[in-house]
Amino acid sequence: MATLSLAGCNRHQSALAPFGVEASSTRDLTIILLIGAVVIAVAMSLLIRHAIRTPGERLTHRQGMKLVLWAGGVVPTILLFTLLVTSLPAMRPLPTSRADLTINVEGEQFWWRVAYRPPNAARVVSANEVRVPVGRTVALKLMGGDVIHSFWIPGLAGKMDMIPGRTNTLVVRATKPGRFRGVCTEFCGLSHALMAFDVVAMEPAAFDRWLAAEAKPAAGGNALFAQYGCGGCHAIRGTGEAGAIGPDLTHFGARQTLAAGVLPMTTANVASFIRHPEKTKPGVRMPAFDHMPPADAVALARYLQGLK
Amino acid sequence: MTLRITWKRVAATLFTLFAAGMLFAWSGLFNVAASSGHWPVTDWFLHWVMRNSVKTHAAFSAPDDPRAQQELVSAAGHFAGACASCHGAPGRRPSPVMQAATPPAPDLAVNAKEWTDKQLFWILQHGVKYSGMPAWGAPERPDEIRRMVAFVRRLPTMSVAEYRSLTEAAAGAGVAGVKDGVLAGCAGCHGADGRGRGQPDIPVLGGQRPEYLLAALDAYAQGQRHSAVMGNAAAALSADEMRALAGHFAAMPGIGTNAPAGSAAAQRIVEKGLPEIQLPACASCHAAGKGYPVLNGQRASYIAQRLRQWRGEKEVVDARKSHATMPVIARRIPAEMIDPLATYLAGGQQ
Ligand code: HEC
Ligand code: HEC
Ligand code: HEC
Ligand code: HEC
Ligand SMILES: [Cu+2]
Repeated sequence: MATLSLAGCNRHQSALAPFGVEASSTRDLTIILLIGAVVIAVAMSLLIRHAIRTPGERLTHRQGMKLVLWAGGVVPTILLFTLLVTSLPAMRPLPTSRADLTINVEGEQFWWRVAYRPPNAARVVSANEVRVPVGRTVALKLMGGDVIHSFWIPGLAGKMDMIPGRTNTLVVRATKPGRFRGVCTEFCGLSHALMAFDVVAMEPAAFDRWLAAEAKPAAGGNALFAQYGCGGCHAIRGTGEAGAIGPDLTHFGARQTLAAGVLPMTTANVASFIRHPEKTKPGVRMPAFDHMPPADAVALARYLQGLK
Repeated sequence: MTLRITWKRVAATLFTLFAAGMLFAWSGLFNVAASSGHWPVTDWFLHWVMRNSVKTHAAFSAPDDPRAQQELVSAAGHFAGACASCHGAPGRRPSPVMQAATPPAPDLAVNAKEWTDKQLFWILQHGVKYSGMPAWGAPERPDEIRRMVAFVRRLPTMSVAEYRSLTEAAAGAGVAGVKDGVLAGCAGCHGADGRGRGQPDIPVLGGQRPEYLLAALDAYAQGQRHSAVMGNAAAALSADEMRALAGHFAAMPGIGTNAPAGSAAAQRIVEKGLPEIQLPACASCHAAGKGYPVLNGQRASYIAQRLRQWRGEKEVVDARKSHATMPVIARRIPAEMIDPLATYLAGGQQ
């Protein structure tokens, strides 16, 4: 049991290891509440012990009533009120301005459609990975593409539902760079548990360079990709493949995980995912390509991984 | 003297009877020879059991539309290839080898009249235990069984000439490496021109990609593509014959030349798909230069039938159905668009 619960202690997907403003204040609040709860529990135990050991009739009726009034009414009210007042600021979203970066994230069964909307440049489409600049405020516009999903990056901020036909806004600010992980936290179908994504917090200059590279078209097309009709669902900008049903693959090779944070990005994994995605993700919306010879799948995987 | 029945005695008697039965079976004295046939009483009893069983099961599990309407060629061809050796056919006596079985296969020109369509459907679908009557080769294809029910129904009144015209067609020139009899078999259903003799359930082979025809023959023979009719036709072909026949039919004029025509909604699905319901454009795969079968000019009824078959039963959840490319895509096509799509791809005609 202990080892099992220790498995929860990781740095890349944990609300106790925050890398953002909101998650930090949530963590601080959690710690204050925890300490308070322990202090109160100890105090109560001592009081009970004292009450049991003391012979009866030590307090008059009047004194007893007074004790109940103070210890049971006035002190808890003051405590709870202080708590409310100190935690209210944590509930207010960070202020945003027009100059801030907006990122649209749309939950789909069982992956994430991501589009960066920098203030003065064209939008950049990507998938299954969210990158944020450290120290800058970012507004995440969350939507549900098909069913209800929920977006949670434990180290950055609280959860927020993604509801079809509605846009929910979550404002975040990362405080330290690194590679983290987010997950879907609303049951959305057979592969709900296999719907995660990478989160990369980058120094602002590196982020700007990365976004400029991400905005560029892909290095080149591929005959097999065209021949197998993958472009009916996937877009690779600059090659004429413009499907919008599945994840954008323009810079697929630059992602570190495959299939929404589920598999390490290796050639063997990509090739077997292309032929039988349903073996990795039950109920996946991409059909199997079992008529494809394995050698073609490997060639396709190499091409896709080359799209940095 | 009175014999008192006690539990002990009942048990001892039952056990003795069982032991005697087992001893008889073990001794080998029972005669399983087909040559001796059944005693008349056994024969009557077995048929009585079979008839009751068919009636009861057909009433509960056969579909309400057990018979197809017009298409008889593929059923007749299948009958000639898979049933006639046992049952005989108009102008053809059953094989004497098969008639020496117990029970011998009945003459369907006589017996077909004794059954309703639903009962015939049930017999063809499931076969008959303890007799030679086999179950349908592809349980996934009730449409094939319906066509066979229609054919068997016609047998009592079918003339020899009519049967011949259904099962035979001029085979045309031979193909190197393929016996003439084999090619004639294909032509009986597909026609010497590979156009399918105007039958709604038989695809046009001419103009199709040879690699696809070859893969289809292989899949039929392996049982990966479900069809009792083509499964039987392809089972005996060697790899070389398959290649030769695929090349032979693909090289004929047929599909792929006429432009699609019909409803604008169907055109939209073919050219752009319906991204809002995750249906990719058919043309992203089915287009010149890609490795997929040619659809333009194919028979509309055949296209619609394949799409419906891929969609499967409404009662089965998607997670239990095939995840192969076309089944997944066919399930995303709106039900009311299947026929318009098929007609559009066929070039406007049925
Ligand atoms: C019917 C639409 C469809 C077609 C056709 C299709 N895909 Fe996909 N593909 C998807 C969807 C939807 C996903 C997202 C799966 C998930 O993770 O839930 C996906 C995911 C992927 C991924 C993983 C993407 C990532 O960001 O990790 C790869 C790689 C991929 N597809 C390659 C291919 C290739 C190669 C072909 C052609 C042989 C192809 N796909 C054809 C719909 C399709
Ligand atoms: C190996 C021999 C054999 C083959 C092949 C065979 N059958 Fe039969 N069939 C029988 C026998 C034997 C019976 C009788 C079963 C009984 O009465 O118990 C029978 C019964 C039937 C009956 C019910 C008739 C009746 O009154 O009993 C039909 C209909 C029928 N077969 C159709 C077909 C069709 C159609 C095919 C080809 C797809 C076929 N059979 C293939 C042996 C065969
Ligand atoms: C008894 C009738 C019959 C005979 C004999 C027959 N076919 Fe067929 N064939 C069909 C039917 C019916 C279909 C459609 C089956 C389906 O629904 O999958 C078909 C389908 C095919 C297909 C698949 C075409 C496609 O577009 O998917 C090929 C290839 C084929 N036949 C080749 C042959 C060859 C070669 C022969 C001779 C060895 C042959 N057939 C003999 C009736 C027949
Ligand atoms: C991602 C590629 C892909 C797309 C998109 C696609 N198909 Fe197919 N299609 C296939 C493959 C693969 C086969 C061969 C399947 C087999 O033989 O099992 C096929 C076969 C077919 C056949 C059978 C042809 C024959 O001769 O038997 C029909 C009909 C068909 N597709 C219709 C459609 C329609 C209609 C659409 C658009 C709604 C469509 N397909 C979209 C890949 C695709
Ligand atoms: Cu989910």
